[in-house]
Amino acid sequence: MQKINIQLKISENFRLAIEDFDLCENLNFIIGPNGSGKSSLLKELSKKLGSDKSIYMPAEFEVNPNLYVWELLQIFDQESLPNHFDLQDIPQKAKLSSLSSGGKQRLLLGLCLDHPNYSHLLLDEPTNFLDPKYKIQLLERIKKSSKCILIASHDLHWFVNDSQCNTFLINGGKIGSRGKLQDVLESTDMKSFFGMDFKVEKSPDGKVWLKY
Amino acid sequence: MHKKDGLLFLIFFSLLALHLSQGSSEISLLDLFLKDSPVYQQILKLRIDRIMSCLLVGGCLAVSGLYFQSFLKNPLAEPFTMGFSGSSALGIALGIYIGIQSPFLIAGLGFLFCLIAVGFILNIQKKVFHNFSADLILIGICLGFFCNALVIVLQSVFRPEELQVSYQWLIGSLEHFRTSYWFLCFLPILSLSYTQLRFGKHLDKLHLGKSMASAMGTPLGKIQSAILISGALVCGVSVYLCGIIAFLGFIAPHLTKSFYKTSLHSKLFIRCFLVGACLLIFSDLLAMKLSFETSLPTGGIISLLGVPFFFNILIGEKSYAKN
Repeated sequence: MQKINIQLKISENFRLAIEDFDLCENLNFIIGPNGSGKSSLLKELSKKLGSDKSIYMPAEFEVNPNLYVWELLQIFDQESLPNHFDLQDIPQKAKLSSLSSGGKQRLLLGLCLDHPNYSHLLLDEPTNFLDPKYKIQLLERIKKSSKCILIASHDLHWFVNDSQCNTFLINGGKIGSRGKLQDVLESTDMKSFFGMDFKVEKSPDGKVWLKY
Repeated sequence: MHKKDGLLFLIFFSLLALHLSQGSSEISLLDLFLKDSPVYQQILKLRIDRIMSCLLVGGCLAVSGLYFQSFLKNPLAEPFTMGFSGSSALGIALGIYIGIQSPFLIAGLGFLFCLIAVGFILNIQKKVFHNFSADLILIGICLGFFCNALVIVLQSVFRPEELQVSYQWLIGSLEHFRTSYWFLCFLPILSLSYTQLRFGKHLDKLHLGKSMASAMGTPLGKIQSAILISGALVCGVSVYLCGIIAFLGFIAPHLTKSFYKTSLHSKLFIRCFLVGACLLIFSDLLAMKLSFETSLPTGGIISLLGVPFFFNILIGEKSYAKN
């Protein structure tokens, strides 16, 4: 993939200045404190990648709650519900407003992940409203996907074990640190970015824990 | 074909027949068609003009309301609450006072004033609000009333003797010779159909929210222009023909959506048009039936039906937002 440069004025005192942004083929993460420009970066990337190639899912669920499930399927050009995240249980004649927040989030994630037309998926806080079971299913499903996926998330615990994934730490609209997740977490002075310290600890079975 | 289409068509054609057989003269529909006399032909023409105006104006206002609601994600949006009707009324009134004769040009002036109002609204919205939809209705309603007041002031300065007529027109009335220019409706119909054919799929994607829709390739700017321009055309022509018909563009889409249980535009477009037409024909029928000494303005009937509906939707939305 070619490297992407982004220079964008978001507001009077905030600028997005990202240089040589490159995604690896499978899974990528963006981390960073509140207001660091993660969402703006995702939106801008979806423009740069092209609307025929990429799909962007915002952190807030903005879909019209008066839609029926079958209408949402039609908008996504799909005939049946995705066969993961227990979505098959949802009746197609149900209104979105009758689903729980987690149900709506799963449904939209499932449709985005299954969509055949888009090779790039940009997900903003995809674990919102998901319970632990679906969080784990989501990560497994994402790793199996053939799409190039970029996730902006505060949920560090959720993916800290994927230490080899390509990660960008964004701060103040710039890339503060980049590389494998493990390296970013260990070699970067996290306190200067997040205002607090992180400790990465390994348990005897090889799992990684984040302590703060 | 949806299984409910039969019912809609039945209502539509019954209303058509009922309306055509109504009039100030007590002549039955059959006589009008069969007897070959110039007076009867004249009466038939008047009735056809009136019903065609009802049908086309009602349909156009309904579809335009549907688009406003989808684009702004605001269930209360429609040409009237957005100040479109009011501003085109001002343009049309001005056109008539300065002595323009061509109905095409007068309606064009209404269209032009509508576009000026759009510019004004967008400008204020940019300064005050962060997103396009929030509280836009407030600006629209204020602007509409301001324009109405200006029309009344102009009327009492230029032609005080016709103040009554002008007042009726501002509430929306089909008791006017201008209804014979109903063919002007081809302009807004063309523009609305273009919007549907060109952007139909994208209009549905708007239901996903603006950020996701635009990431999926929905051209928000172009859709906004198409919806605003067709709305201005609808108002320019409809206000010229029969004055300000408030709340129709608001009621019709909601009725259609809840009757057919869908929000997809490809399924709604023609049906919403028909529902709007039915509503205006029905209200006009009611207005004719209830008129005794002076004629009752049709728009008044729609408002009587529409305002309770408006509050109902408003309360529904607010209680939904709370949950």
